[in-house]
Amino acid sequence: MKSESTPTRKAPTAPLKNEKSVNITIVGVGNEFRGDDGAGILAVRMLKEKVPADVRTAELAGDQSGLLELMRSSDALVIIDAVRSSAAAGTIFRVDASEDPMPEHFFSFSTHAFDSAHAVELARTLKLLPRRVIFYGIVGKEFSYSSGLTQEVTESVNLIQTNIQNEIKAALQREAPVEDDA
Amino acid sequence: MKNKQARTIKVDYLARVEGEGALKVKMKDGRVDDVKFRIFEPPRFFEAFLRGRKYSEAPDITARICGICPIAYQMSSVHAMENAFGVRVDGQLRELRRLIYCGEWIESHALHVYMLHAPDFLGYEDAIQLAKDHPDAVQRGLRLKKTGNDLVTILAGREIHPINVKVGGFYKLPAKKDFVEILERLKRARDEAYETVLWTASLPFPEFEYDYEFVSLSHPGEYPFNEGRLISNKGLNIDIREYELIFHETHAYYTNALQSEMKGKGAYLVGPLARFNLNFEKLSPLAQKAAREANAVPPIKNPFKSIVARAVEALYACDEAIRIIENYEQPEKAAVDYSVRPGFGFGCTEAPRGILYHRYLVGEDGAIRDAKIVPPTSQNQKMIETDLRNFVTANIEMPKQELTLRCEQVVRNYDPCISCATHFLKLEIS
Repeated sequence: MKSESTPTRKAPTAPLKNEKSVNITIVGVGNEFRGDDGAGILAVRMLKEKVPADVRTAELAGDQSGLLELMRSSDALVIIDAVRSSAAAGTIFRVDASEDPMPEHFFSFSTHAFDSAHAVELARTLKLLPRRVIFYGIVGKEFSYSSGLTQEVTESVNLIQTNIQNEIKAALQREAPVEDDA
Repeated sequence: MKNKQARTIKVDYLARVEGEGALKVKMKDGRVDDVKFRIFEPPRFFEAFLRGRKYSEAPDITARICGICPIAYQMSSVHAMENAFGVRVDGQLRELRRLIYCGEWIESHALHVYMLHAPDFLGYEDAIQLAKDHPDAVQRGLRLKKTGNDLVTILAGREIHPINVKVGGFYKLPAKKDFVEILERLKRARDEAYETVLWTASLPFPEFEYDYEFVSLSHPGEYPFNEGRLISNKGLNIDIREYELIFHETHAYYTNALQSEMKGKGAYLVGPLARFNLNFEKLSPLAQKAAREANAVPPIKNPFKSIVARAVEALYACDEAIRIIENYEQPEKAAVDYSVRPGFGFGCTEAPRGILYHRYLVGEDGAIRDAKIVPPTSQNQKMIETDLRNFVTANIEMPKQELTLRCEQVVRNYDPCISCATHFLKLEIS
């Protein structure tokens, strides 16, 4: 199932606390020196200050087989990547990869030889997928060598912050060990 | 008759190559009419971007050209600058440069062998499908790759866009204790790399050979990474300073990337197959033993067997890394002293995909006046087109779907890094 959404603007949420010892990782994927391809990297840098200190943040460029290593060591993983699409620049795609396979057309979006969609599906095949994997794809416009994001993608990187914080909250609730009252 | 009709094999997006490219082969009257291997990422203009920047920025700027082989760019640039300044880096610092290159070869070769190239031979669409039937092989490839990644991280500060390499040496040196854990993993990786050689040699290879001109570095005492003369199996033997006297680049209208050729000769082949064929006796005894056991001895003229050469090199890189680490003593200084002096500097090192040439002109003030970078994929482009033409000609009766897949495989024999070649690639067969 592919879901497509354009997040609404919300006030920043209060800092989150991870008191449940859940291994959560947020990873930004892309090359910050290739225009909008850096969207995931810059999004994760901004999130660093907004998520509990023990929520791991990571950056990956080049090929994405490194995602499999992050999956081995995470209960929940949020992946933020730039994608190519006929949709408007800045459009945000959200895929719950723990529930659904990565959409077919995502495999050709990435400029990477072994892209994040391949990494997710390879992990599923090898039974390495964590319990929860959420993929955010931001549609980019300009992927040539340059130093910054386009305006549309910058806005989406800002908008996505609240969504990811909510994902972390939800992951903490879902992944928390169930209290046994008996 | 069917093959008398005009046919087109066309692959709009080449999968499993780094970056974006396309292939188009046109057939008419039972023969190949036209072959175009296109690179269509936007031009990157790194050479122009370097002009006016300080010489010391070249390693970090050029490392950004490729997410797969940043070390190669750093190495060619620092060697070029050191060549300009008359600096010689020896001893343990030189060994560390070989070590960091070992890491890059292991990770790049493991990625290509297992994730990108092996599915072609076994009839799988990609590594995901391969993993369903061969999970142990894919896991082996992933472990091998991670060992290479981690070795690079120890030396480079970080795996992607490394920051620890500088003209004269390194910014910060690893202590001997930093290698304790990776040394044990490299020993396991070496065993798995040996298995990889035998596994790749067991793959079914299409019948295809060509009388290539193989070009690589050659060094009297070692399998080439950083230094050596440029040699070929057809008489080339030059100092790297003479590169531009022998090789030149042309711009074909249908591709963004410049295409290299040997003046008066045309296409040539760089990369693992060239290095393997020209430097076999410089491989470690273990790598030679594995190659012989796999029945892979030079000259190998079947480009599909480049996967075996790549696996042998991954084994060599593990073996060489172990040797360097076991002999490592931390030097007192992280870099040698030097003075900036104006002039031309030349660097040519062996990136995983083949020779990577850099030439700079540095001014009195240390600013880069001019830069030329020729990545391996630019050098192999013409050879890839030649292979496509010859392969399709030899297999003109093959059903279109199978021929298309084989043509993609022909391209992937070269592990083309289109991102690098894009100063400008995509696959169509018609």
